[in-house]
Amino acid sequence: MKLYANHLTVRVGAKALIADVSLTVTPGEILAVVGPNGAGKSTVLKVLAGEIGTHGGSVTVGKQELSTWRKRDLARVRAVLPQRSSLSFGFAAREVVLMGRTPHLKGGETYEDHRIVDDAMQLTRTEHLADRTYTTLSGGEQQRVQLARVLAQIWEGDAPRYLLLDEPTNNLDLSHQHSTLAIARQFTRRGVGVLAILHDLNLAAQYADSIVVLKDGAVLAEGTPSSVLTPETIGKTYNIPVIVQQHPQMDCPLIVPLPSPTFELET
Amino acid sequence: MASTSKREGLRFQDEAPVTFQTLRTTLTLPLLAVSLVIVVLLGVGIGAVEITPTQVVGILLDEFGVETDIAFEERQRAVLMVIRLPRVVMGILIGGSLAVSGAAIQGMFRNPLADPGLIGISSGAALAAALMIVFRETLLSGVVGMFGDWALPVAAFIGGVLTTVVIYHLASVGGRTQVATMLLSGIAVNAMAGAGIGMMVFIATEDQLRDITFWSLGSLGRSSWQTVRVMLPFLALAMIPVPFLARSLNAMLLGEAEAGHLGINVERVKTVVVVMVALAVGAGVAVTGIIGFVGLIVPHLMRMFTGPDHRVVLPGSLLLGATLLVGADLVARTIVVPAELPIGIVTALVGGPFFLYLLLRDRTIGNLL
Repeated sequence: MKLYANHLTVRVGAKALIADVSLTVTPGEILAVVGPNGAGKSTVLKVLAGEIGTHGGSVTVGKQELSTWRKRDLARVRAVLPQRSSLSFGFAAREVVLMGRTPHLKGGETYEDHRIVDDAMQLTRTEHLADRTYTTLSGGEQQRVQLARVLAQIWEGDAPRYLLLDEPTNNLDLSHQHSTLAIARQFTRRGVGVLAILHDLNLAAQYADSIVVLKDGAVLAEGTPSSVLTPETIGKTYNIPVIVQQHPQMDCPLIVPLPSPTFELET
Repeated sequence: MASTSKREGLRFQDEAPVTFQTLRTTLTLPLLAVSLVIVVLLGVGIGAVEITPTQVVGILLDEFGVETDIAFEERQRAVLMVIRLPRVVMGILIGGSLAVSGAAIQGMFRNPLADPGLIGISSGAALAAALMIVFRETLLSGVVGMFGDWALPVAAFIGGVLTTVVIYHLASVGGRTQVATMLLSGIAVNAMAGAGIGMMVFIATEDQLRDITFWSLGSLGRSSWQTVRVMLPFLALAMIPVPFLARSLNAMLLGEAEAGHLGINVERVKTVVVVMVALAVGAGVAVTGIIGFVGLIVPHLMRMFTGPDHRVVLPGSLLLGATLLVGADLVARTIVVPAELPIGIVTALVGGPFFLYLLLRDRTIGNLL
């Protein structure tokens, strides 16, 4: 009962954005997708979310092929946090979070829906923003309200459920970056499978159960953080030298970038 | 994980929290309904023949066979039943449906400045009407033979629907509608329709010119029970999906992809909105010509009063649009007695400056274009 991406290929014209990408999101685990800009991370997420079609390969959620799911049924078990949101109408932050309950509503919102919204806002530390107009919030505050919205969408219900996060730590300060991934971790204990696109390798190392490294639209490496985050793989992926140490307190690797001669312009 | 929100005390089991916002929202719709009733009573009462609200009630009851003590003259009955009431009813129908169409299309485009006129529906309908007026006795005489007096409204309606279909297809790539392309196509269609109408004005005779002017400025002056009967099925059909659209349009304000992730069938919502707007605006233009700004201003006012939730904005626009258009028509036919101003001039004179005021007051709206 996992979320499988099998041999996905997406082309624009002759150029392949992703080629033969396979990955598995397992309920109860966090899968981090890392890789340089333009590696195809967001394309993979869009295919998994059903936003774009493929030129090859398939996605299965649970027992069913993605395209055979009824939209509403799928929305009850799978939420997607976009990289940025284009909401430009003046809803109160709380109303935005309440929209996460849309696929569960039969008629009006119930007390239960409001309780879930309150809890989701408490968890994302956005309670104090509840009555603020969304458009007046800062980028990071908006991002946390959107997180509360997708959490409210899959707050409870039948496992397995899935959470797809496209750069969830964008715009967030250090503390909120960690609290966001800690929340994702907390949700895995409720039977949620999480896929998160991350840029910070140390965040991936600390929170992910497994990591997929994408480069030029293909999977370069995959496995546990300690098996994937080696100086060789990171060097090949990002063209930057790093030292990988054991984290002083946690059981995970710690990546320390080194100065790279290629960054210095010849004069 | 129970919440300890301060609002808890105001909350009842299984009910939404009671806040100032919800209170204002609950009060808005009844208040709008009351103001519509008031403006309707004024609209049917004021004019060369005065009819008091009491007399209006008396005449209406009498029409349904209920005897009352209220005294009125036969002349008042004739004016009310034959002239004013169909005109006011038409104002309600057109104003309400234009405003709801505007609200729906603004939601769909996620742009508070969108308007049925903006994507070319109104001008497509007006161009068809102009063609019909000029070529009535020559090229299009066959159509006149088929529809008789209805040829003109039918042409306008078909023009509106055709424009909508063309724009929708121009903007659809692989089953998805690109909003930016749709808006730009609308601008192009507006320019072409404008050129076509200009051409018709150029070759029109004196009489035809007067007719074309009527269409491009709009008037409720041709309303009768017969036109109301023809309009009603179109507008009723257009309004049927409205209650089911609100939640979907709310979700679509987050973005089309996000609405899809929330389980909304985005493509179906867009198709429904486009068909609904084509029906409402096409039928509206067919009978009354182009009446601008109602579809733009009314949803805007509703959002200022109650926030952007379509569950309030849609029904509120229906009531407020009806109220404003009946009011505008009252002004149009009483301000330069015994002549009558085209209502499009009144709505543009009031709507234009008001819209500028909105833009200047809140410049962020300008950033959305």
